[in-house]
Amino acid sequence: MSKFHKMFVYNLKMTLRQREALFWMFLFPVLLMIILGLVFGSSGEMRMKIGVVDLDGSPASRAIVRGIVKAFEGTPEIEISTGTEEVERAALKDGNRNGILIIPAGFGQAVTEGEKGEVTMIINRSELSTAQIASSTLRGIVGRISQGMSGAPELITVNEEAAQDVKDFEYIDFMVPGILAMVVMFGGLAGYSLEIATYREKGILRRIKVSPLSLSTFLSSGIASVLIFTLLQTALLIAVGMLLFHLKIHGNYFCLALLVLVGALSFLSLGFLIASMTRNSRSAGMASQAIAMPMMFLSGIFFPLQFVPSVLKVIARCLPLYYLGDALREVMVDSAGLASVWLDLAVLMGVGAVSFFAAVRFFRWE
Amino acid sequence: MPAISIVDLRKSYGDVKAVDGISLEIEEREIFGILGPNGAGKTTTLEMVETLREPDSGRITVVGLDVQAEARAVKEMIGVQLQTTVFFDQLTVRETIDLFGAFYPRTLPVADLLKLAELGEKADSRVNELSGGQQKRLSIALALVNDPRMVFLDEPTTGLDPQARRRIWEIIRHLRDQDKTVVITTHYIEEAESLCDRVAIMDHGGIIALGTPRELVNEHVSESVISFRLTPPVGEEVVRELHGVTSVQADNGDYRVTTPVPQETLIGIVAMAYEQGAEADDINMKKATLEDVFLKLTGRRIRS
Repeated sequence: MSKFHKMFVYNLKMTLRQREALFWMFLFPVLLMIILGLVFGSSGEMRMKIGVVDLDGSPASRAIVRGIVKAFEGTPEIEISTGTEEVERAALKDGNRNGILIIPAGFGQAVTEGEKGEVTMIINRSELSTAQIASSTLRGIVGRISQGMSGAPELITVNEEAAQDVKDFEYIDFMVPGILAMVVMFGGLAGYSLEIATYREKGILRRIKVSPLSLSTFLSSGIASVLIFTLLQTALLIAVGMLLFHLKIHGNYFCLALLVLVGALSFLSLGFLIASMTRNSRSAGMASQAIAMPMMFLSGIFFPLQFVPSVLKVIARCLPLYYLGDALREVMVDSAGLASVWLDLAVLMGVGAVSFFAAVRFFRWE
Repeated sequence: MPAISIVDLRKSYGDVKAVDGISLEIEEREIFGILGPNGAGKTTTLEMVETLREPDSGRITVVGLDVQAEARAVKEMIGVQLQTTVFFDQLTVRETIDLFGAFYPRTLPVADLLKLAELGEKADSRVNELSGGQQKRLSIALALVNDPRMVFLDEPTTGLDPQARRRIWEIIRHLRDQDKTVVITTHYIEEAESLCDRVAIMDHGGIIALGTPRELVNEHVSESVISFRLTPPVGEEVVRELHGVTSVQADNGDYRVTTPVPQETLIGIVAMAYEQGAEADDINMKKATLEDVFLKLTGRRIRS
């Protein structure tokens, strides 16, 4: 253990002393995230979207709806839409409404009979900053209507209902899992294959071979160091995403870390295989780029696959990076547990195991 | 028991017989040199002893341990400097020694190794800032990190200037004084002659001569060469009469004679010049070397 520990610490030290490598590991992904976030991210303007559903259809309720629409015609910050209950609820779920106001059946009758009318409002609480505003806006609307009708504010009671499973989906939420997947892939595939190939080329592997140290101890200390740096990269990206773009992580952080580690090990094995199959560090570098670059663009980690031709969808599903991106997204956005990403995990572990055994089979000391 | 025993060792790469049936015994506490031109099979032989390559056939034991069957025990006992120096660029000299120490169960203190390799001042420099000689000394320090009984140095001074070379020779002699057995490969005649207790001369995968440098020279090349100049010139037959002279080449006052007794012949030349009233200068006596042995045995020079 002390051998492993010492080599592990020196591996960390060596990585920390490579300025250029640190740039590609930490600064580059963050810059990429910022650029993509600024270019494709949310427009940033504050806009309230409120849906109004009239289930009553009475003259009173229709008058209220008309009144609401009219009241906000001049205020671009608040957009009122009307629709059926299903449409509006679905829109709320997809994050397209900040809140909806439902006028239930029987409302008009109750009001004309001088009883209290009841309305329901549902607020999207996933966006905390706007939820507050949405809630008070809706209450304001209701208050104004009720005053306009009778002069007494108590006429209408507001029942508030919490919105369930609201998705507040922004590009940043889609992109960050993609960048994480990219970082994990490059660290394993390009970084590690180049390292092993360079060690072989320089004769360091032969020097290890002539000492009593086992190859597995030597390699595993390097792998452990790559894993630590991958976790650090992940943490940094998430932190910057949260600070700059209000990135939200809905899933469990342990699931996320576990996925990152499984993905990293899978791509490390692939990198090891590349190092074993290529002649020198130059060809290892070119081979890993030739594999990593197309994979990065074809596996849909930056843009949703629903917009690409179906051929590309099929190609994406043949690439291990697709499964890592998918699993990370499921956990981060849909708060999925490990059970629901079992297929992704199985593919990643399968790719890792196959390439590891192939790499051992083709491994050369010199 | 010899420190290292090699019996009928063979290794081929395709049709090339890199090592073609070598048998050899190396004693404890000697500096043993393997001398030969590039491609003679020196490094391949050494690397098979170091457990780095598998022989096609033959048997190697290091203090009685079979290097293939008991590779791990052998690895713990030997220290190896490979022909190309290998380090991790991002580490300092001190860190490099510390890291390589982690490969072995038993290690010497880093400070001792720094002192031995005369790298104390460079301890905190990055390895890629070292000169060629310093790098070679560091790789020797790494070969000694486990306090090995046997040290293998593959061309320890290749590419170094004479001064840097001499510093390494001092370190190697110091190792022998510490009761270690040192095996080096070299293609430098001077290195083999002044450093090694015994030398095996290799060519085309085989050992063509084995012994102390003096034995080899005496056995294979009995004659030295003396060249000189006489003004005015004297007759060739006068020179031929001198004590010990076995052959004469004369060219308009420049002479080159061979002799098994160079000292006596030299005195004869000076006395003859005095008697003949000629002035002798440019006198040059060249003792036979291992290069002459190699030339005699193969018809080629070691370094072509």
